[in-house]
Amino acid sequence: MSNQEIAQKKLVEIISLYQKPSLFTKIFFVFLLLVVLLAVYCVILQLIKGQVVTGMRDYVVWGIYDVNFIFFIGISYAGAMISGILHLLNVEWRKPIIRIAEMITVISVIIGPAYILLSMGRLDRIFNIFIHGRIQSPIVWDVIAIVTYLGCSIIFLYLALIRDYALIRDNTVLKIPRWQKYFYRKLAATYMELPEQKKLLGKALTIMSALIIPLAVIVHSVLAWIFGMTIRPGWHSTIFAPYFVVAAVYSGTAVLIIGMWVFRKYYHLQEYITEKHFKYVGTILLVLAALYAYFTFSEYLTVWYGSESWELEVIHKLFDFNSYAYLFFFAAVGGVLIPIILTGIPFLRTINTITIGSMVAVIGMWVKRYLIIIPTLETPLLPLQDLRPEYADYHATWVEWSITAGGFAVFFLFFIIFIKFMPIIPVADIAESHVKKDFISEKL
Amino acid sequence: MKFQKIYPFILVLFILSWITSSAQETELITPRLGASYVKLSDGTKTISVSLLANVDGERVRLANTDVQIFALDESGKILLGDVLTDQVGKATLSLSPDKLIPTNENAYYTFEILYPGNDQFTEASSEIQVMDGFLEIIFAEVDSVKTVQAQIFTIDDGEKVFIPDVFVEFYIKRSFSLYPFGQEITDDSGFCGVEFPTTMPGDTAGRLVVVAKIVDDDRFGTIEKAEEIDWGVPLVIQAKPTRGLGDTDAPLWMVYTLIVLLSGVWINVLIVVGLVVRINIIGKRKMKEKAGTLQ
Repeated sequence: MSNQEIAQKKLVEIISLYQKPSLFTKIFFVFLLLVVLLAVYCVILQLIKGQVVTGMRDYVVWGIYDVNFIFFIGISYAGAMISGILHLLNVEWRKPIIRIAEMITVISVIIGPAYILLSMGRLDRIFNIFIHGRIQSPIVWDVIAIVTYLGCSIIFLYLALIRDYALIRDNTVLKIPRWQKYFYRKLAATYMELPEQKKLLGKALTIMSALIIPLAVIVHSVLAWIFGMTIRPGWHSTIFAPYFVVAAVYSGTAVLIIGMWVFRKYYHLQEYITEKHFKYVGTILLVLAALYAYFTFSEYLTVWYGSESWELEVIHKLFDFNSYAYLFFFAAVGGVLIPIILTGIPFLRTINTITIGSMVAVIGMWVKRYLIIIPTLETPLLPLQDLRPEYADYHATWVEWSITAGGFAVFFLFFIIFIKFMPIIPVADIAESHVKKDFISEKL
Repeated sequence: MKFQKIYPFILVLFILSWITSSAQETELITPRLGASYVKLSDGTKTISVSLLANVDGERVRLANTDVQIFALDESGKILLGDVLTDQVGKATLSLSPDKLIPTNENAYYTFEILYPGNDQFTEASSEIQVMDGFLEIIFAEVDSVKTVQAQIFTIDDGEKVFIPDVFVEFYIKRSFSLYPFGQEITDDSGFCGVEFPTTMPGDTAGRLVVVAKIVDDDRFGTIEKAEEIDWGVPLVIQAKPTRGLGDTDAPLWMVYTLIVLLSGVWINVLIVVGLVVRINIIGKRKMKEKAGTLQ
């Protein structure tokens, strides 16, 4: 059997696994649509009535919209860092999981920035950032970095898809609508697995892999600088940029593991995504959890030891059980220790426990972003006086929670839609590995 | 029956309390009328008035109240003007330098300030007697020592009469207050002088305003005189950076860094796009070759 024949066989195998959506997928799809509709209603409500429908007020001007923004940009690291680094290092086992990672990147970079637009009081003035934007402003850096990052992520995903699109284009077994075939033909760019084409594609992928890693680091560093360059307690820190980057890779890796578990379970990809993948990515998660724990400890110890009164106000809120202590200990201790235990102790390390550890890490990281933003904004330099309680304390409203749920629903919806048009497993790469394996075993 | 005997007492008590309250109502309060005279640097004479009263143990400033100011002479009094007190009970009447004000035989002005009173406050008046004094500032530099001198005199039949033993204070005008740098008493020739501090910052040309003052003198009241002199340390204004974090234009290094970074990214993206185009061209060529072979 030739390489192409094996690839075509694999393609039919893989696409058949999820081509016809199950009843559960259909119900889930409808449920997600309803959540998105509720979110759309809330967005319209906010546009008509203004920010008053949110919990954001004069002091706490950023709420869970910004938490979601940082969270989604953070999980985009799954594709950028994991996929990029593993590609550059030419790690063979990466192949079945990189497509999921790349999709996570593109989808989360599309959703994340939308939350920033929602936290703007005057959305109608958004164009001013392009007309009057000042290069000195980290906000402008952020806009430039995210737009560039999104562009490069889409190109990276597309390059990785060319071989598979060529396979689908040439496939005669799969029943694919004409219009879809037309697009596959165009997107495949007449790729025919010619040695010269293969070499050029490999070169393009290497360039994008090398490019997307520093880009991802820049995006999250700029995001951290928006906070770090503001002289406020809990934000003004020199380690904020690397701290954000580590936190982002950590949450991105955790989301990748959850994605692997979901696709493996519901699309029956056990043959391709194996326990080995979970253990390998779990080990990466373990290292990142330890690194993240080190940064967290270093950050809070330094601030606490410095005893600067304004900084201590925030620290005391984080350790006060009537304030944020439960959330803080969940995020800073539970969100790190549980993943470390579940991925670090060999006999506990199973597919399910690694996934549970990842879920705890993801929730912990969302809470951590909440704790970065809210307690600091609730602690202005001048004491709060003669103020209505809702101006001093932030409580997200149902509108904000609905829009947050909507963002997550869009995330899952995009996945369901994306896999209708692109193979979730890189078929051509898998087939190539298969042929290589057969060749080596024949030689032996 | 018992209650009927009490009625006359109640009636008496009521009448007594009514009489007492009526007496209180008609008791007028005497306000305190304060007045001061200041001759400004340009020769304008001002009479400042303050009207206060003690009402139920509290000091009350009488606002929006009309006060009349007169100049007295042997023949009677001339109304100089009416002033209305402001929210803090103060008012000022300005008399231009060319305003003729009658004097007595000793060349003193006599001003009477009169508050006519109303149904709550009694009439109140105050009197000021001052001589029209002249204060001149003279700047002198001897052996690199800069001195500010003041000379006080009055004019009698067109002749200057220099006044000794007058206490003069010297100041330099700053943005929000006067900076005192000396005080001296005039000698027999009406002169006094103090050394000028050499380290005072002026404007870009070193200009600053020196003020000499006689404050609440028994004969002259308050006289102020201000003169400008370029004895200050010239202010060097730091050239405003044309590009900075706070400016519209970003620092050049930032612009260059951004250009280099973005160029680096987008050049690589263009290279990748170029590679995809080449892949496409190679594929098309191969397809043509295949088609040619089949024909």
